Amino acid sequence: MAWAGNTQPLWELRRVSKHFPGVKALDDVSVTIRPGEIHGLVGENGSGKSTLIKCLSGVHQPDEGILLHRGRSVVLPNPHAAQLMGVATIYQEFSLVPSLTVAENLYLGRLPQTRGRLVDWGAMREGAHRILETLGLEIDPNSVVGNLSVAEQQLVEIAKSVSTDATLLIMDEPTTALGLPETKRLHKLIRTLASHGRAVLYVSHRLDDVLEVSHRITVLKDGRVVATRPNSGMTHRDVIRLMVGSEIEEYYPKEHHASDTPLLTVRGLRTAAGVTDATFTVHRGEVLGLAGMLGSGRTAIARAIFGLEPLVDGVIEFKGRRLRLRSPREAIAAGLGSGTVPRCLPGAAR
Amino acid sequence: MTKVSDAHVSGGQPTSVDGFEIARNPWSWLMRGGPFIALSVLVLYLAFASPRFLGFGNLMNVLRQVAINAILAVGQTVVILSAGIDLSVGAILALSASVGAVAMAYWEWNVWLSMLVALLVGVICGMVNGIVIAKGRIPDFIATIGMMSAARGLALIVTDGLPVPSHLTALTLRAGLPSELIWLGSGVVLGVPVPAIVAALMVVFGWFILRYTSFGRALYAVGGNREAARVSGISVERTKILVYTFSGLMAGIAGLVLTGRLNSANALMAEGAELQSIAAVVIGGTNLFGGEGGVGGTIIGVLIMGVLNNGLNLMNVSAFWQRVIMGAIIVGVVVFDQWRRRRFGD
Repeated sequence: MAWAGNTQPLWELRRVSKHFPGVKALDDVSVTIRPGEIHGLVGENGSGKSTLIKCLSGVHQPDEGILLHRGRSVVLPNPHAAQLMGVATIYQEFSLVPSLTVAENLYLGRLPQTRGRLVDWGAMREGAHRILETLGLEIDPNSVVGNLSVAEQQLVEIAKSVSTDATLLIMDEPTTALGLPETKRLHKLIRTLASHGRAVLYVSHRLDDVLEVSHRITVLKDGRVVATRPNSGMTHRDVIRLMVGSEIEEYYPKEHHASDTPLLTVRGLRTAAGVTDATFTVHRGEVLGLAGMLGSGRTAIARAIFGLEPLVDGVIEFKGRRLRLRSPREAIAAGLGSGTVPRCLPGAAR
Repeated sequence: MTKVSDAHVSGGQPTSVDGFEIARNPWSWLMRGGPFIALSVLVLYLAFASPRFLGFGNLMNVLRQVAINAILAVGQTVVILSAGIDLSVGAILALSASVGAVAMAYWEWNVWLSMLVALLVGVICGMVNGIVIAKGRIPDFIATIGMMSAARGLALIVTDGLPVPSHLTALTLRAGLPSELIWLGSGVVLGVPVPAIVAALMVVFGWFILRYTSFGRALYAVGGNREAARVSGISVERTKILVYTFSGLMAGIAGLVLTGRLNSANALMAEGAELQSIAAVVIGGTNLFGGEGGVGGTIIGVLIMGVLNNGLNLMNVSAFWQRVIMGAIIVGVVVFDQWRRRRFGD
């Protein structure tokens, strides 16, 4: 393990509680984070992970309890104060400005200035180049962030927090948008940072990722800490048991309803948005999941079937009839339904 | 396990956003400068259609006419970049001008002091806008529409609803407005109208602030991704207040220049100027939702509107039709720009 066992904690939440109208988001929570430690934080939705992060990053202030930084009690009235204390938070939603360059995003809120208090563009570009190089990222500091891929944007995001000389990096669901190779690359980066003495609070739904990279894992349930355990010897099942509070065989029991009658057939689908040759069949009673990375075309396919994107080529058959949809109105008339578009494939109803 | 038979999905790559297509498309560089091309085409057409258009005198005329809108539009650009909108610039212009003119003509204050007070009025109005928006947490639209009404009302109170100086009061005055102010609005330096010079200075000033000050960069962040700005430690409130204060200052300057040009101020001057300035900013390619654009585009937008006005005059198009054509052009340019962005990326 990279972290030394008994050093003074870098950060400590001591008996912290936070109420919101109607909910106790955090209830008497105590957590320690040590320098050089990768600390996994897991829990179901609504277990208080986000609130805990926000208390540490100065967005929320605890109602009860205290925060200790290197043993000293501190108050973080706003995110800026947390930043000054070396806390950098990488949020789920990217905190990048899409219309600005990588360099400017890296220095957002603390642009280098010349002696005349003007923005020093030269120093900024140089600094950005150096930061990216140190982290082994091949990204042009002058490119506009909105033109980068999601994975690249996230790496910029991390580079940004590292460059603030943060001692604690909080990562909220860092791998959601990443594929396997990118996740590996991210974990490697995190280990490097930890070996340099920075602490990482790693918050994720993906237990495998947490188990792979964390030194210790804290499990939250209903705003309370269930346990903080060293990772060694923990299994996926142990973590789930702590999260849910009881052993369950499968998260969601699966039922079989699928028949052999094709309901929706998609062949050779092509759209201007970049879908090429999508072919699949959904049977009556079947739930078909479309998996893929952000930008891989999942949503584009669903939108095309639902008549939200014009087809360049391809055939959509529904109940044996060929559909030529030009609008969601026609799709609904034909008997297709859609959940909120980004979330799922139009559930072929009726 | 759910049965998934012959499911074969091959999604495409994300294209248009990737910059790939854009780089390959030989027309992209041309399309990028959309507003500039529109202006060039307009100038070229008018140069052929009207022999007088390219004359030095006429061009200086155009510059004199666009100066007020240019000054206001610099302020409006800054506001819109921060994802706001300032509907009160015309009213603030009128209030500053009225206070300045009353101070000079009736109270017989020193001309420089009066000008300073006029600018201060603009700054205060703008600051009030910003504070109300930032602290009151209300939409920019509502706050500035309130200021629009209130500032006009105050201007009516200050001027008693009469032009300053007016025919009723002119007899009792030794003179009208001081010559320094008249020079600001009607003077000429080396053949170039002073209002145009003032406007040019403001454009450079605005560009410099946007490019080289932390405030300027911060407002791109606030407009482009407010949450990102906040978590990066940028004070959104402070930025908003400064943005509107700047716009108020520009309105004050425009008020002095316009008073000098008209040789008079009144509470209802520059009506509709706020919409003109917004139109210029949007024609110039600044994103109405904030974060993208700049004064470079805005000045092109201002010139498109000014050249069009001038050209229609030269071609003897009736003033009534001019309004119709102007409206169509404003919408047309923005529709084209939106299409261009979708098709060719930014």
